[in-house]
Amino acid sequence: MSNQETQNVVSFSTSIFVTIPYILYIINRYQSETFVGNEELRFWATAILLMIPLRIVSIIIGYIIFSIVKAIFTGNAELEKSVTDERDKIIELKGDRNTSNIFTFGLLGSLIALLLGGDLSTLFIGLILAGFVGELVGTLSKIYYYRLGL
Amino acid sequence: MNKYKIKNNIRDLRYAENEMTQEELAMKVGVTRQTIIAIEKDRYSPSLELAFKIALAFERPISEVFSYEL
Repeated sequence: MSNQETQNVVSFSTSIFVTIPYILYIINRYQSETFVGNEELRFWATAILLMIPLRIVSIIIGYIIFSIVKAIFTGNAELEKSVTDERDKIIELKGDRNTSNIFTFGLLGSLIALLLGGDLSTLFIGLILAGFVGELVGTLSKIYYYRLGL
Repeated sequence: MNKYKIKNNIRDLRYAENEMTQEELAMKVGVTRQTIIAIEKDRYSPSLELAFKIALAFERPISEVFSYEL
């Protein structure tokens, strides 16, 4: 498995094991709290902003764990040099395009739901889910392109 | 609709060149071994620049390495 494939597998795994519990935690906390004035907006802003460092840290930790496990199983503790060539760049672009398309549809869906009478939480939950699903689809499609070709 | 594909005989040429490994060819043309594997298995069509680099690595004209067929 190449370095790029490894990164995508780690990203996918952390999405499943870290982001899903975080989203469920946010939704639970939202349901258990009562908001006055702008507090709700502040709650969603904090939830979304906290998600960024959480994703970065979880991917770094996931990559370290994956490297340790790989070194144990293969018996090779040396880190592979990461080389990116034209195929990697095309796969990266196609995966990011898929992420972007899913997120755009999610954003539009959330706005339409808001227009049809949904509350503020519908918009923010829609945005978080669109970002999550978009990233998941992007990562899975990159793994697909690496395994089965462009 | 007919689908044309870029075919190649990199594998044969590698064996003709003292059994050059995929890693060696990858190093020569500046890509990863995975990319050479993908090209050999017709799972990736290289850019024109990379196609020329591969042809130069074997010191053959590009038409002897790659072909465009149905």
